[in-house]
Amino acid sequence: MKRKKILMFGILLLIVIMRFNFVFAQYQGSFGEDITIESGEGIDLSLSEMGANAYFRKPGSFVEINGNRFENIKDGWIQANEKGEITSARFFTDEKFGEYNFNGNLIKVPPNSEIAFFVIDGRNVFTGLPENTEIKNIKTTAEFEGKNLKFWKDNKQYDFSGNLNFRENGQIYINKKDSLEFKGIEIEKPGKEIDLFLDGKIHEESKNYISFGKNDFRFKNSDLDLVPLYLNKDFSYLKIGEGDKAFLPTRGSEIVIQKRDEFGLDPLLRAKLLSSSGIVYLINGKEGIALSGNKFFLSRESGGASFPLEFINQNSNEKILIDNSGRINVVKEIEEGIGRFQRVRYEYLTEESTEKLIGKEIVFGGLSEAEKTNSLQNLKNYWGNLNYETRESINKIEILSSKEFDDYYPFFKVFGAFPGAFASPTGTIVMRSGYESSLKHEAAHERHYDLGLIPGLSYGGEFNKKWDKTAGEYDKVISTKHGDYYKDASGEIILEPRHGYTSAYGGKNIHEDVATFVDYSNNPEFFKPLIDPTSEKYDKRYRQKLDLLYKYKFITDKEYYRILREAGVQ
Amino acid sequence: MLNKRGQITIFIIVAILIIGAVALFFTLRGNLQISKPSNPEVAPIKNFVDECIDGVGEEVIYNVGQSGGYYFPPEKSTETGITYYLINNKSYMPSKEKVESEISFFVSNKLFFCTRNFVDFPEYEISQGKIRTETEILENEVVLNVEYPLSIKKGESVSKIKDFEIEIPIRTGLVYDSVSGFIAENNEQGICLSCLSNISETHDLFVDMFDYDNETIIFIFKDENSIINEKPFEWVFANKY
Repeated sequence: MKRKKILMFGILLLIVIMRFNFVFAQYQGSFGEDITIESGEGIDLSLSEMGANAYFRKPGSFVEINGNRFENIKDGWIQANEKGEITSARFFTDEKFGEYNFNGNLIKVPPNSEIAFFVIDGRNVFTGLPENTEIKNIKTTAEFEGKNLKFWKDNKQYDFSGNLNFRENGQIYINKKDSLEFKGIEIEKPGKEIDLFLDGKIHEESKNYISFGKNDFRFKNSDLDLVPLYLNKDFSYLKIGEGDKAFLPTRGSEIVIQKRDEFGLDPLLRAKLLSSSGIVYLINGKEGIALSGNKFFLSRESGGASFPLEFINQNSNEKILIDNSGRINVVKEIEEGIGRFQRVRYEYLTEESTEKLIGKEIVFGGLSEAEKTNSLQNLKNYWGNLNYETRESINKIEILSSKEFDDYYPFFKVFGAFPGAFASPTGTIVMRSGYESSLKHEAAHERHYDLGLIPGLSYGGEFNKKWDKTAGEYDKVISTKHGDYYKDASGEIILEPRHGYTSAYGGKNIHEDVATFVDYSNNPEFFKPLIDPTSEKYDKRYRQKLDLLYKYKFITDKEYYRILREAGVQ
Repeated sequence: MLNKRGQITIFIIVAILIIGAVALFFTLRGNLQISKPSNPEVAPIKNFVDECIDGVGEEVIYNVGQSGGYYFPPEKSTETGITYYLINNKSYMPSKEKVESEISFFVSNKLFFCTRNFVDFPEYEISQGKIRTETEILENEVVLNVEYPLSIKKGESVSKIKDFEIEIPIRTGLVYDSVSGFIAENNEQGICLSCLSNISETHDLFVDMFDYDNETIIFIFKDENSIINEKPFEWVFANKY
């Protein structure tokens, strides 16, 4: 009975095998015209006059079609047509590198890769290629998509991410719906085909192209729809910083960006509008320059940083000079020999203009022009951090050289102090050049004077009484014998906040207590553990002092509420 | 008989001519600027007033330039007192007539602080009437026509002077027109740098721009051909974009 069952099972199995034409054994043969196919163990091969389908059932198996071997594949399938051309494939490679030839297009993939391939409209398309895939040869019109892919051209290797296309003649191009990141440019869905060249030369025959050269980058967009082009830090023709980008949308125009490092010059962007509707924009996050209708326009952006550039309108004799601080100069080249006039400038600060901007008198000591310019720029930046009431408490700002500071105000030296700046009760802040960052601190002293503080004497005013009640006595916890440090730290310099002070220096007296608190108002993280009742470091004095600073207008609403929000308190 | 008629006719003609001449005289008197021969004794007073008008005029014009056409910043201005011209594409630039009346008002009111009741002229007894100024902003100068009635007594002699005219060579009209032209070219694409370059080149001006805050740019149109107290004349305003 048992033997009968085994026999019946064997016959059944034979029928099934014959019925479905499974091949478990190795196959070697041909199909179609002069097409040879070979497969190893673990391959399910199905042949018909339409072509061949090979399914990989076992790791270690292989299929070879017309001498092109597909191995190191643990799972997946390949489909070929009656000519032996691969029409589609999807497979997973094993732990070895794999090299695969798809109709003459040779790719090398890292271990454990997934390959997806299909042919559409005659194009060989590789999608989702794994990182570090190397495209070793291209024979047909092909498209490759993936991250950090590599290809070769004229014995040089290039990296890209996104989509890149190749024509049968080897011409590289970007398709209209593709995205590409290549050599520092990022382009997304340009809406048209754009040829890509790697010689940096002009290509008159191409309507829309990008060309990368050693020192020249060219971009031509003859049509009147904008192509959005981003440039990142890898764009070697401009000095774009880490994390920054430039936006260069253009239409109806041709541009060339020239690297001029070897001449010690800033990069040059030459733009030529090809029609009256042509536009070239350059937006660096800080400002935007547009060339449109043969005129330059400036728009202000927020965020980002500037980079140096000379931007020339090739249709006229006008150029824009941008330096790395974002200052702009409009230059018109006059006839040869007469030179150039720079009549229009943006953000070139002078004493007079800074006074107009901040509404206060600025007095410089014997500083060089470069030092003055630097100080003015810093001053303008830090002035933006002060609230209205604090600004109103300042009358004048004096910026001196270090030597002048010590000569004019020798009493600091007598006490062994070396302050970067100080605030006088008359409303004048005096600082050494380079110490403009102390403006917020000194301005807090000025605001404090306005509220009734008299240095060195007793002080009055509602604010001071309330603050005093919160702070307690200043000399109880701080020692100033050998610097400023907490007495309970036994002489150890501790920088952390304690006893209701932001630092030991803040515990010296009410002046510095208030000013050091204001110093940290732009740093919500600092106050977070100190004002959150659930925190170990919580001390109610910090919140009390912050509330007083807010109420008496030492800090802005924005600063105050940001601190509370960060700490998660009401 | 004929003789008598002829004589009458001649007399009538002469009378008509005299009446016509007198009428013409009174009509044209203002335009002809017939001035009485000046009394040399009042010349120092006249010169003094001229100098005051010149000094005060320069100071007022300079300040008006610094505040974009106003002596004191108007309601629409930055915290630091710079007048807004454009706010969200709407122009608030004062008209030339407004600027003229601003200059007129402050020259009239500040002149007193210069003349100081003529305390520097103790040998004279001077009484003064209400000061009225008419300003005309021209391309290359500002003309101040000041009506400053003065009755000047020295000893037994009494003289009256009233009209003073001073031309201050500041290219206020040119600068104003340049700014006005730039404001009119306000463009959605941003600040037209090429327009500013053309304006400045055409009129020999310099233009500086600064960020005031995220939305506001300060503009300074500077004319180094117009110097006041060793400083170039400037027209300052702000645009909010």
